[in-house]
Amino acid sequence: MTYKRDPGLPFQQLEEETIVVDPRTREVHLLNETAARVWDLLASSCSLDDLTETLAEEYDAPPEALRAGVEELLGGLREKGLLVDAAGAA
Amino acid sequence: MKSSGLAPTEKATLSLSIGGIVGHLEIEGAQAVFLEQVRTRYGAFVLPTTSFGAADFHLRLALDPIAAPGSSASKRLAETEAHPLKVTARGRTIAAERWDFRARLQGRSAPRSVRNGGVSYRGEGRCEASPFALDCLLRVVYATLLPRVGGMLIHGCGLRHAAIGVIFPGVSGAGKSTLARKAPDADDVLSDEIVAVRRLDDGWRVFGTPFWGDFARGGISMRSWPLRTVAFLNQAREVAMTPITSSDATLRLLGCFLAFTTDLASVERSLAVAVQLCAEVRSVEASLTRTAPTATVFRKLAPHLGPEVTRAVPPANARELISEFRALLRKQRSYAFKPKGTAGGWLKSGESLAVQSPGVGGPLAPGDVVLAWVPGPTPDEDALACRRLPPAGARDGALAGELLGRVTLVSRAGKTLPLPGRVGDLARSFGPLVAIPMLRMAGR
Repeated sequence: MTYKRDPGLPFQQLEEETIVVDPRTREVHLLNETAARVWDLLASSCSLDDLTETLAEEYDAPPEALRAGVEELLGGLREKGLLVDAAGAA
Repeated sequence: MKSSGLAPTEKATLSLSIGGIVGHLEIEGAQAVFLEQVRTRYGAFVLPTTSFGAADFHLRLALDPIAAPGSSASKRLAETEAHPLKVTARGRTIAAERWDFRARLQGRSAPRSVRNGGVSYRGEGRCEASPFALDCLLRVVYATLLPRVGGMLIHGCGLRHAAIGVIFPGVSGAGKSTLARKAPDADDVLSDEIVAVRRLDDGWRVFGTPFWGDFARGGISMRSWPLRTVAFLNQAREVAMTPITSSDATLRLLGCFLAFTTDLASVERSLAVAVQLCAEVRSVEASLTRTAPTATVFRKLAPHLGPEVTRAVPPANARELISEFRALLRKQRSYAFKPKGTAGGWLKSGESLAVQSPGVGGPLAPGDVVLAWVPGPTPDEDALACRRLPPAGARDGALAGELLGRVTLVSRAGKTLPLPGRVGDLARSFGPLVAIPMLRMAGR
């Protein structure tokens, strides 16, 4: 399964974090540095494996150490309605 | 806007400047008592009537009578529930409707005289002849337009402190009105409910508004103050100020941001404004007790206000200056000001004018020298003009603008020259006067 950030959500990058606003729910989400990087990568369709591999390279860490965390983050973003799947359905 | 009785007037006009945004209202079908309520509520923000070309928005409103109390309570309740506030913004089209009003504004490229984003809005609507309905409609319009020019309305208490402004955002019950009530001088309260902030050439400024809460009064003038600190309210057992990061501040600010539209473009705009404000203005969490005196609050806040809190910062433009002059004159009933530097060919450095509020010292009479506020096409071009009152019945247009007061004295070369009198002839050569630093005498 591949994911992409919801293109209908306004966001602003701060120095390290990113703020995402969901006008439908009037909720504001503050993404920390790592989550902000994932949000950045999710500008285009990515699978869990793609994200894990990219972050492993950037953070110089073994993929297996990151995978669970990335999966949890994706689950959280999806649960909050901030992602769409590659087919475009939320 | 003067009329009497309960018969509807044909048409009344009202120009408001809130947060630097000028709106012209054409109100049709209003009774004099309603117009008086409106003028009282928005008086500090009312501009002298001017041509419609200089406004950021023009709104023609037809008033509907209020439903008779009691007779249709259930129907009214049903209407209220069936038609809650709905605001949409699509491009330059803004529409707002509620059970007691509806309006639609369409933006178009503005003439050169309108600076605010290069767009002027025009539209019409209907509104119940209720101050509450009109107030809500105005909040919607200003909350929607301000982000388009880099500003916003914030749910917060605004206070002037020395020569700067501080805003205390907070949700209902956070203590905004309590803070306002404790201010030693009520004139320092910019609003206990909603303040306007906006980035101008010299940085962020906070404006008072007529949108108040339990404190039941808002800012006394259109004047803005440099915004030094955003202090998010938090009720606590001890007074403390804790700096917070700009990202935390942005999150909190978005929770106190008056926004009625949820379309992508509007939210993007608002988010950008909030992020910029919080990146450029320091923010703290203001833990306050209900009984903490204002002096204590500002003593604790002092390290977070930055340097030169008392350094006089001139008003952003002539309009703000004259508006505050009007407020001070109304309050003190007489006022002397001394422009610094030359202000036209007739009043020079060291000279001063004394002005009385209308009604002080007897009614105005032909021959009196009066000071009038003459609005220009832009806020920078507003002017004070001295004129001689023409003989009764004469209509020579000498009183264009709003009459602010009667000039009683000119202090010149060590002599005090009373007016009117022979010196009053000087008025003929007074011409427009814009005296930027004149409010220094009032310590503001």
